[in-house]
Amino acid sequence: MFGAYKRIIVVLSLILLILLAACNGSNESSGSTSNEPGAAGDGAEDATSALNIAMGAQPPNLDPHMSATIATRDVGKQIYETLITVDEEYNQVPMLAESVQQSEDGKTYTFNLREGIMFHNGKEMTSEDVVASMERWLEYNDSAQMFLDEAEFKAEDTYKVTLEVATPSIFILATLGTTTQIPAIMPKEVVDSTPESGVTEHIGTGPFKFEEWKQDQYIHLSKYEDYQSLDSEPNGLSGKKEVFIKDVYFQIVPDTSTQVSGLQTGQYNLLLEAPNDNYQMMLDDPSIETTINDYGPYSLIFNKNAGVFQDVDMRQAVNAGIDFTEILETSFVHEHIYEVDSSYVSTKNEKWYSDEGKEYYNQNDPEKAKKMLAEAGYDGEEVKILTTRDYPHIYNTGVVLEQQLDNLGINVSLEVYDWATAISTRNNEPEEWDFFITGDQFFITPIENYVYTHDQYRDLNNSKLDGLISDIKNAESEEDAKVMWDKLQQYSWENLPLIKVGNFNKVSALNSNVIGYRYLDGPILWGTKIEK
Amino acid sequence: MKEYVLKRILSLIPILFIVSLVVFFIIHITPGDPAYVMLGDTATEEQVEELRGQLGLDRPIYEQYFIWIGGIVTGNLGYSYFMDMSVTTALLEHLSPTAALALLAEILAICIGIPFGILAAKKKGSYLDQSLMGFSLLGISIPSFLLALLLILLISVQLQWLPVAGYAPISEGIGMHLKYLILPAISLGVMQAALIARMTRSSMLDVLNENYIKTALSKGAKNRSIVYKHALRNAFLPILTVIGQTFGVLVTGAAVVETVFNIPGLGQLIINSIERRDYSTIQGVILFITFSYVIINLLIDLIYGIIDPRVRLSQK
Repeated sequence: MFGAYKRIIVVLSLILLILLAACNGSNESSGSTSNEPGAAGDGAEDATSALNIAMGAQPPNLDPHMSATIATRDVGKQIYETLITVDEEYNQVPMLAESVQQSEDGKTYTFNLREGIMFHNGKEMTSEDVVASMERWLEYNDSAQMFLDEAEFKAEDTYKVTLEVATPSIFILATLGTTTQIPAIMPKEVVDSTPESGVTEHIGTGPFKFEEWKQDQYIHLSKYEDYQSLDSEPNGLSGKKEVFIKDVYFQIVPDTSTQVSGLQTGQYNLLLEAPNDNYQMMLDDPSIETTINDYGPYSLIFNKNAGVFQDVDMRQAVNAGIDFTEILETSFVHEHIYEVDSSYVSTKNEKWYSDEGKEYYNQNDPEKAKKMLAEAGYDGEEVKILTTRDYPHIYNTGVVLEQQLDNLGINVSLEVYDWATAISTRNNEPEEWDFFITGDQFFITPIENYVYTHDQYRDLNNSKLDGLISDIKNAESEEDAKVMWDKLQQYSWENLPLIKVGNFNKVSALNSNVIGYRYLDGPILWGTKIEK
Repeated sequence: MKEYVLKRILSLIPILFIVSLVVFFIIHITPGDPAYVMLGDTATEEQVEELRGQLGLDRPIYEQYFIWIGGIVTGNLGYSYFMDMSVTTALLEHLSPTAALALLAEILAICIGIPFGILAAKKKGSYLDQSLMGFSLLGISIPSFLLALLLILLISVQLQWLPVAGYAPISEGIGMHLKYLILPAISLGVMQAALIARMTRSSMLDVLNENYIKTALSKGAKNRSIVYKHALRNAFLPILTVIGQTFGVLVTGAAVVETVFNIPGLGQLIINSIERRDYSTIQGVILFITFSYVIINLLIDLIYGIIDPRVRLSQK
């Protein structure tokens, strides 16, 4: 018997030895360039040299003109810059342009470029690069196609570019200052040689330059030593960009529990999008700081082109009967992460905020809804909610909505797909869904909301809605546009192309030694430091 | 022997052909569009159609299949527009983490499973036997992802001995390489160790009851010699089968553990490729996995002959 135990001890000792050898071996390494570079646990001598950011999914590409995905935006923002950008209050301010002049008829804009701006490949930025970049962006950006009517960019001289449009619009500068799918300026030769599937050479003028993209592992950026910063105070995405970090690694970490554990141990310095379920735990942990980032409206989109919700009375009945607060609580877990508000734009957007139509918001009156359903002639037709487990909040919303609709006496079913299939079903099989759940970003101008612009979401047969949108698009002043927007929001609450449930935020979580981190439509890494 | 190997390799052709057909058509009839993934889900129909045309997805499905299979015949597994690299390159990049992890997990499983199985067989019916088999039942029952999370919580978060996640190639040094692989290897290896231990015990018990063992005992052979020289070698064929199967599973089925520990292996490559509908990569990787599985089984069959002269195929 003793011999048997002896052998077990030998085997276990061997395993322990392997473990110890691994730990010892790791302590001998420093300044690693492995797939977890600069991680606190690897004994790196200068921990401040690298910022490790965990992100859930890698971007499909790093082409800022082509892709509107959040991951592309978050990484691209550090590499690329635009002629115009926005400050903290979303005012448009020049970035790569020294100044911008608008002609009296509003059809010509002249951009005087800053001189001596060097791309990451060492070449100076000139008007040729700007024209090539802007022309490519025009091909892809929906808002540009909406507001920049027959736009043409021309190089007047080395540092001067003009934009001519057929129809003036008060939204032109706002569109040029967009923070997603940005009109990034890149060298002309990069634009000319870009394959149709997207940019493969990532060369911009931003404070960080692209180093390496290890597929499904990390994207490595480094400080751009020759960056030409503005001297004005940092404000939003504008002003001085001072870099205190040598290397930035966007680590692709799909598993959220791994992200949280990595943050706790210091392996990751920052989680771009911390899981809502762990928010309270992170609040209670003194080694972790959290920031709440305004994100966008959370909505239930009706299918207005097939099924029972083609009838506006049915949409109004459902809107009267459901409890928005319960949906928000269940989907976003903590009151810091959602906001109960009826406006289609952010509560912080003073220019466009409107409470028109709020009487229709969050009525939570099931009896009224049942009566309205009967009046609308509802006869037990099946209502399909399209949802996905890929995003827990969207799945949770589906479950709560299913229960609430069931309580109203609606014959409801929950259709659960992976995200790609859900999108495909939404786009290609209109008979297969009645509700699509989505959270979007706030837009700089409210009529860019997908429910007004995208065929997948909008009511293809509502000419009144189209007319109101067109009025705002062609408004002569911002004041006029705001009055019309109030009307459009009121009409939207009556006609209900969607139910705007509330606003939702995203939580960033960082080690408490990371200071100076800011967020405006994505992470701002210039000005961010890691304290020793 | 050569004839047998050749025959087995030739039998791969219809298997791969059928797999290629099934994989290709299942993937292409599954809803979801790579163009939407690349452009974002709010891209317009025109933009999506344009990109689909550029990716060749607007061609008839049979034409797409023949283009793909034509490439395979010439050794070209296709091109991933998402990763901007050939599928072969992506596959090779993701293969080494998986192979390293599978190898380490298998070594751990063998080092734990076989000695425990032998001990349990030798002490059949004792407390030791019952304890070891109890542990092996636990090992088989506990899901690898749960064990992985428990290990992360204990070893990485509480004790901070090993990193939570990640991977370092062997070029970073053996210590660094192992540091990232130990926890995932334990998570994967425990279940395989349990399987090997149970199979070793059962196989050893069969052999230990054979007449030639009793003869050896009556001739005064030493206990150690009987167990390791006479019994183990004869009991090893079924154990080897389990080892082969578990290795196949480890190479091809470590997706969950790879995700939890963020190891950029084949499992993660498949999951990510499915999520983004990267057709060429899914097809190429599944074909490769099929090929590997068949080859691993062939190698195991060949090793049978080395271990047990009775099944040496050349004598057939």
